[in-house]
Amino acid sequence: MSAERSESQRSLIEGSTLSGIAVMAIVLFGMVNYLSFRHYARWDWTSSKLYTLSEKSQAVLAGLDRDIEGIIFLSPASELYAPADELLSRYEAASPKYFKKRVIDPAKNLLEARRLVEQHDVQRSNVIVIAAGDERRVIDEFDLAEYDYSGAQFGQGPSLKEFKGEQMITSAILELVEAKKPKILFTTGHGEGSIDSPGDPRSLSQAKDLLGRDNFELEEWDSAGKIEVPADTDLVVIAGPTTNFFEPELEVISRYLDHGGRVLVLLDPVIEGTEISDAGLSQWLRRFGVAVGNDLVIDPETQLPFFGPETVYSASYGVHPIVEDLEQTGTRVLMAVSRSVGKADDAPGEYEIEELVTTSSSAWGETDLANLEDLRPDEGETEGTISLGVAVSYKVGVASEADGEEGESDLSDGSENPDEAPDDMGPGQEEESDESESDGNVPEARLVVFGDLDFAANSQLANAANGALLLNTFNWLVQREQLISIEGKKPEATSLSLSSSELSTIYLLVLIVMPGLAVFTGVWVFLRRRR
Amino acid sequence: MSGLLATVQRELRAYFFSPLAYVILTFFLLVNGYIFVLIVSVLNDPRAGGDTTPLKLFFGDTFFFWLVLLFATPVLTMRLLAEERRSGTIESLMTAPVTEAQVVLGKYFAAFLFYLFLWLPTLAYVVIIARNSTVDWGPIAAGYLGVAGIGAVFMAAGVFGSSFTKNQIVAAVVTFGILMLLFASTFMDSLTTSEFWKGVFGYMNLLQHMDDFSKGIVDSRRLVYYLSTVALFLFLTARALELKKWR
Repeated sequence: MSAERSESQRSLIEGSTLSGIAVMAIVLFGMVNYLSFRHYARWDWTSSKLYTLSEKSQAVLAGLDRDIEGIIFLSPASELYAPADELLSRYEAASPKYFKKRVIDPAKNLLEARRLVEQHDVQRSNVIVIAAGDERRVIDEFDLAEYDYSGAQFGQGPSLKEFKGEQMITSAILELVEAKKPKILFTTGHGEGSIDSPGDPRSLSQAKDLLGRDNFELEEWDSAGKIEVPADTDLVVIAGPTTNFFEPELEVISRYLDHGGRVLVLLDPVIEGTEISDAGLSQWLRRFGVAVGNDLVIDPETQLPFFGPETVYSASYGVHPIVEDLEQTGTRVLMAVSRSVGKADDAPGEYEIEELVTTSSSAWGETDLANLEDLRPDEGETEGTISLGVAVSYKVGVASEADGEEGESDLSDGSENPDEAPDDMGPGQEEESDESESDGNVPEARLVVFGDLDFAANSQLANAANGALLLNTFNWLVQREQLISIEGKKPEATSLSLSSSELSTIYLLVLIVMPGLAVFTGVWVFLRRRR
Repeated sequence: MSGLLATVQRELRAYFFSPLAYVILTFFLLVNGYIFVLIVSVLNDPRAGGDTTPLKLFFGDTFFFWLVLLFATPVLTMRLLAEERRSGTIESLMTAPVTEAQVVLGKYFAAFLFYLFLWLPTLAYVVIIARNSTVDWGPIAAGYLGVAGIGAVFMAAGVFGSSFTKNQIVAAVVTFGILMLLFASTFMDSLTTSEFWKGVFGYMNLLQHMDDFSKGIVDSRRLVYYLSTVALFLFLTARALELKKWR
C-alpha cells in the first residue's frame, strides 16, 4: 500500500514537474515570437527587386524623425487591397520605429472606421491616409493605380495596369515631413514653355505633375521689370525661351545666383531661318564658364529607328550626382533637336563645371542650316563627343568679388534701384552670408544648363529616362541629393510559346508518367513485402 | 548522434517500404500535376501577357495545396509513435541507449525528409518552364523555402499528435485537429476587430506566409515562427514520452 502510494506520489510529482516545464516552454515560445514580431527583417529574392522600396523611399524613411501612420481604408475585396497592404508592410519594415501600418475594413470595423473618418476628415472610403500628428494626406484609390480601359469597347471593365502606390505614398510622407516645399519659379514673357498647357508639346505640365509628386511647388514668374527674385525662391527655371531677355533681368538672376541661388536653363536651339539664336543667354552663361553653341547636335551613332540623327539617344554621362544612377544602370535619355552646351575654354577656375550628358564620338554640331539635306560635318564645325548639358557650382562670394567692378557697371546700365541691389538675396542667405566668414560654411550657388527643352516637355518627358534626369536635376539643384534615384525597372514576365504537341508531351509527363512511376514503385514495394 | 542517425535510417526505410507512402506520393503528384497544367495553360496563352511569378499558383495559391498538406501530414505521421506504443516496441526503444530526444528527433527528421522527397519531383515542373522561357529563380527558391517551413511545422505537429495514443486513426485525427487550429489563424485575423488579436493571427496566417514566399519575399518572422513551433512541438513530444516512461 505504501509502495503504491509512493509510486502515485512520484508520478504526480513527475507529472507536475513536466507540466510546469511544458508551460515554461510555451511561455518561452511566446516570448521568442513576440521579439520576432517586433524586430524582423524582410528580404526580397526577386531579381528585379519588385518588393523592395526604391532608394528614394528608403532615403525619405531614413530621414524620419516623427511618427507616421499609414492607414488602409480599403475593402479586402478591392484589387488594390493586397498590393497596398504589401507595400505598407515594406514601409513598416524599413522604418519600424516611426512608420506604423493599420488596416481598417470600412464594412467590418464600423466604430473604428467612423472614429478615424472623423479624426482624419476622410470624406470617402477606399483611400489610404498617411498621417503625422494632426496633419494628413489622403490618397484616393484612383490615384493608386493606372487602369487599362481598352477592353471597354468589348464590354470589359478596366484592368489594373500599374500600381503607383509607392510614388503616391512617398510623396505624401515627403509633404508631411518637409517643413517647406521647395519653391520653383518658371520665368515667362520670353516664349518659354508653359507649366499649365497640357495639350502643348512644348509645355511642362507633365513635368509639373511629376515634380509636384516630389513635393515641389511650381509657379510662373514674369521677370520683366523685377528688381529681385522673390524671397524664399529655391530655384529659377528658364525653360526654352525664344525671345531675348533684357539685360536688367539677367542681372537680377545673376545677383540671385551670386547669393547662393539655383538656376536651371533649358536652352532649346531657336531656329530663325538659317540661323540659331540663343535668346541672348549665350554671353550671360559665358560668365559662369558655360559655352553655348549655336548649333544643332547630330549624332548618327545613337540614332533611333524612325527618328532622324538630330535625336540623340544617349547613355554617355559625366561624373556627377545628377547622372550617377543613370550611368550605373546604363539607362538612356532622349534629347531631340538640341544644341551643344559645354565647359568654356576660358572658364574661371572658381567654378566647378561638370558635363552631364554627352554624345558618341561620331557627333558634330551642325551650323549650316541651309543645307540640312546633306548632313555631314563641315569645316569649322565641332566634331567628336559633344556635351549636351553641364552642371555648375561655385561658392557664394567668389563671383561677387571676382566680378565686383563688372557688376557695378551693369547696374548703372539698367538696374532700376541700384541701391536696393545688395538686398537681393538668394534663398535664406541673409544669415548665412553674415555667418559664412565665421563658420566657414560658405553657401553654394548651383546652375544647370541643358541644350534641349523637349526632354523635359510633354513631347518627350515620358520617353527613356528623361523623367529621372529631370527629377535628379531638380533635387540636386535644391540640395535634396538624398532623393536622387532612378525608378525601378519593370520585371520580366515569364511566358511560353509551346506547340500543341509539346503541350501534350508535358501533360503526359506530369499527369501520367510521373504519377504512374509512383504507382509502379508502390506496387513493386508491396510485392516485395509480400515475398 | 549515432542513435539519432540510426532512428532516422530505420524510419526512412519504413517509409520507403510502405505502400501507403506511394499512395500519398501518387495523389500528391496528380494534384500538383493538375495545378502545373493550369499554370502552363495560362503561360502559353498569348492574351495572358505572361507572369512575373509563374509558380505562385503552385505555392499555396490554390485550395489543393492546403488540402494535400492537411490530409497527407496526419497520414504520414500517424504511425510514428502510435504504432510503437500499440506494438509494445516503445518500451524497448525507451530502454535502448537512445534518449527520448533522439527518438523524437529521429522520427521527426525521417518524416520531414520524406515530406521533402514528395516535393522533389516537382522540380521537374520548374525545369520544364526554365527550358522554354526565362524564370526568376528567387521567387521559386523562396516558394520552396516556404513549402519546407510549413511542412516542417506540420510534420512536427504530426509527431506530437502521434504521441498521444496507441491508435493510428486517433493519432491522425488529433494531428488533423492541431493542423486545423494552426490553419484557422488564416481566417481569424479577418474576423476579429481587436488590434492585438489581429496582430497575433496575422503573424500566424499561413496563407499570408505562402503568399509572401511565392512572390519572393522572405520574412524572418515566418522563419522564427516555424523553427520555434517545431522546437515546441518536439519538446512537448519528448516530455510526453518521458511522462509515459515513468508511468
